[in-house]
Amino acid sequence: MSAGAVMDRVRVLRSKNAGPYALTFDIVLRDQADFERIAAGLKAEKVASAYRIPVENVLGTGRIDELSAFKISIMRRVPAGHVGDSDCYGMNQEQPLTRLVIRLLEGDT
Amino acid sequence: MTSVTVITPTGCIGNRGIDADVFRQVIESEQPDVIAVDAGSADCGPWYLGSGRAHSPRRNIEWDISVLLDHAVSRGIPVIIGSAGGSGTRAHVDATVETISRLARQRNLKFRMAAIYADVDPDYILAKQQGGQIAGASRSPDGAGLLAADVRTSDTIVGLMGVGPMIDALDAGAAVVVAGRAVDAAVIASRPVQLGLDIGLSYHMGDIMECAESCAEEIAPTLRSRGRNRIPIIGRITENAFELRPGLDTLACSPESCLMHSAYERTDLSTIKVPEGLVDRSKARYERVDANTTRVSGSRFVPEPHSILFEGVRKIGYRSVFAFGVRTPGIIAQLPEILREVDAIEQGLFGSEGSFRIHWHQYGRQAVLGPAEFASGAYEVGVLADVVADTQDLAHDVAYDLLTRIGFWRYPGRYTTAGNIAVTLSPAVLDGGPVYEFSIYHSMPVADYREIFRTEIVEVQ
Repeated sequence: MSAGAVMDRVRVLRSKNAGPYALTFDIVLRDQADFERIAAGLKAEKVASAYRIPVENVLGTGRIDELSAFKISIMRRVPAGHVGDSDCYGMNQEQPLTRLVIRLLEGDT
Repeated sequence: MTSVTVITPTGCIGNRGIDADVFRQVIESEQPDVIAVDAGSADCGPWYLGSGRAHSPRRNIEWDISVLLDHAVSRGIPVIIGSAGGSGTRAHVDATVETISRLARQRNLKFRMAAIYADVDPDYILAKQQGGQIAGASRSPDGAGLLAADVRTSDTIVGLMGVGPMIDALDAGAAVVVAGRAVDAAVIASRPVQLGLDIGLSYHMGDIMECAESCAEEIAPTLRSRGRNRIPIIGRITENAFELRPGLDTLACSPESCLMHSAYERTDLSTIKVPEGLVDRSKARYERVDANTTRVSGSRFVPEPHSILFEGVRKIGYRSVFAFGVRTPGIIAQLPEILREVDAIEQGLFGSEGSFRIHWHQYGRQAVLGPAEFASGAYEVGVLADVVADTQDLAHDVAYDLLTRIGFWRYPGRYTTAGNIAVTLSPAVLDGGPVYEFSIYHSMPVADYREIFRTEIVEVQ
């Protein structure tokens, strides 16, 4: 299956600042089974590895069952808008997670 | 049964502009008890808090304020603006007060205005120092402590107010409240709480509607084709529930869109931390009322000792930037090494005149994701050089020296002997003025909000 077709199963996959020191990611699936697959598979270790950060910099997760939505947050490498930061609002940091989600949905864990 | 109607016309004053026709229509049909609107954020980075400048275009700010004056203030409907001017410092509040006064005089409007200042004296925080640390201070969201040194080196500090100062201003008869830095949801919650409704439910409503139509979904394409495309959300709150709907029927506050906005810009889904306590929304119910409306109930308020989130920034130097692209395969391959080498040469040449640092954003090579990048390969690379030095003059000269040095660098295999890089702009180097970084983003217990937030009354006539 191509990445595009897998991503058809994802309604939202977004990143945003949660204050200047953290990024938060929301993933909304179209299907209950896919939601459970992501909720079960998206471990802190995998997210840490995708973002090449220490696992203790992965913050808590959360879920909104009514929406099939899953949240995970990480500490930023560089605080928002500091010299060396590349994404002040944190709006475009989702691609490493996107790759991870695609792998989980393809069953390649 | 007490029922309070709040209209939030935009997610931020000056941001793309309020749709004036839709706003006027909902004012006439809903007869709201208050217009509550946010005007700021820390999202745009530390510079605005440090500089005291706005992050929205002046034309858009004046548009939005004119709309509020023409359709709300002129009808005697109270207006509350939170985090005025962008970051809610004294300079931001004063600029907003000046704009409102000027535009009101043009319209011959007369009213009482309250200006609430949120600026914090570093000594207030330093008084809680114990052995170099500030007692009870906890950074959001990781809980890191706060060093007294970080307070001392801060140039600007503000506190985020809850509902108290804004209720006091309404009680003092203010028709327009210009609040400095405030919790977004508190701006919306203050009028319902003043009129006796539950603080937790009021905050929960504010938390969903603070960004106006961002909490709504499109039933039919509506927003993209409009110029001034911020659409009001109408919140009607009673003793045990609130209902949200957009000002246009082609938009809908659905249970899904309201829930989704609850996740926006926060790490915690089940609670909302506010100065007065904790809003527990883990048992909240979201029910569709009709095609456009959702009813929310069941959130619970847990009182906690009053606390305030403080935001502080410090100036770290002055910035000059320049941009260039490279297309020649040889320099693309060697660019990271070349940039390291010129960086070292620059330190040797000018390091004795002051400290400076250079950050290279190499677009096409890990610029957006940094070390998290997993893709490779580029046929061209764009470079944004960010030079930050002790003085503007030093940053400027280091930047120009770097530009010509890279432009004529003799790298192995070079055949482009007339020059190596495509310089984007003339002048090549742009001076950006002072640069700031965040120094404080910590919550601390504050027994009485009046220790921090000060209100002044302005009679507009």
